[in-house]
Amino acid sequence: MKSNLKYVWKATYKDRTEFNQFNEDGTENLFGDIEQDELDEFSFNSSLGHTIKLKLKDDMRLICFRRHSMNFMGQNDKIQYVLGYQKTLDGKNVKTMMFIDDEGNVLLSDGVQ
Amino acid sequence: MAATATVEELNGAPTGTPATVTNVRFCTADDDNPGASYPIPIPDSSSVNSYWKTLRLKFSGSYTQVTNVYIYTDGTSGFGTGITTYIGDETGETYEQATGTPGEDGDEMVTSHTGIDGKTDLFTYTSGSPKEVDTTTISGDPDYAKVIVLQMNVASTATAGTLSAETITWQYDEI
Repeated sequence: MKSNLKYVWKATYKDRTEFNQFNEDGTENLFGDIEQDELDEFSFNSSLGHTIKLKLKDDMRLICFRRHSMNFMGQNDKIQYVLGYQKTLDGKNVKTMMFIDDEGNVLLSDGVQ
Repeated sequence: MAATATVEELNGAPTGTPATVTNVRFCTADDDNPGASYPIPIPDSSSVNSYWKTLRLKFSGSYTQVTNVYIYTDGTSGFGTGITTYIGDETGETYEQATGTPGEDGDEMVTSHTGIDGKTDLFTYTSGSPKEVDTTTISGDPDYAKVIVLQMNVASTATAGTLSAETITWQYDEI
């Protein structure tokens, strides 16, 4: 599956240790295994050669998912990679999200596109 | 591994036998693979229905969770005059077998399917305004999104023949 993904994630904890989506042997770690409370940075590393990095403050909660669009028969799967955060501001849940397509184009949004 | 998504059609009684499908052919039978059998006849007046189709997305493999399952079209039906494709307004976890008279007419889903209280032209749903299918958390291996129910209505004004395929898009978020 790794070869099909244009972006893979890397979590960097406050103690500077790293937790990668894929281990050296090719096995994959699940997003749910990230220790969210210990996160300092979260990045998308692109097969195109660039990195998109999010620096997390204590009041920011990470948003990360892949949005799949595929035809009715499960073919032609297109993926948008979504990276962002949410925080409580004046009692409201506020989101900032980047929608990144396969070619590296980025759309910044305040909610789900 | 990421989640693997496949489309299943449910047929038969009582709980529905799932079949992985790579196309959906509307017909006048409770059959996921009718071939050229059980075509929908063009009536002399008014309209007839296909049997309704019950479909769902199946997720398998190692993944954390899937949510926000939606479906949409390009907004334009290429099926031509007199042909309307409906989606039931309700999605759910309960299957109900399609009924009707084989080779003639399917029972209309709002009238005959106890889980469907309304229906909408499928082609009104577009990428900017998709149909919500399931916003619960899907996390098992395998696990399923809620089922959708589709039905084609063919009026006397329709043109005979095999229709060109239309593309419908599923959308879901995976973490």
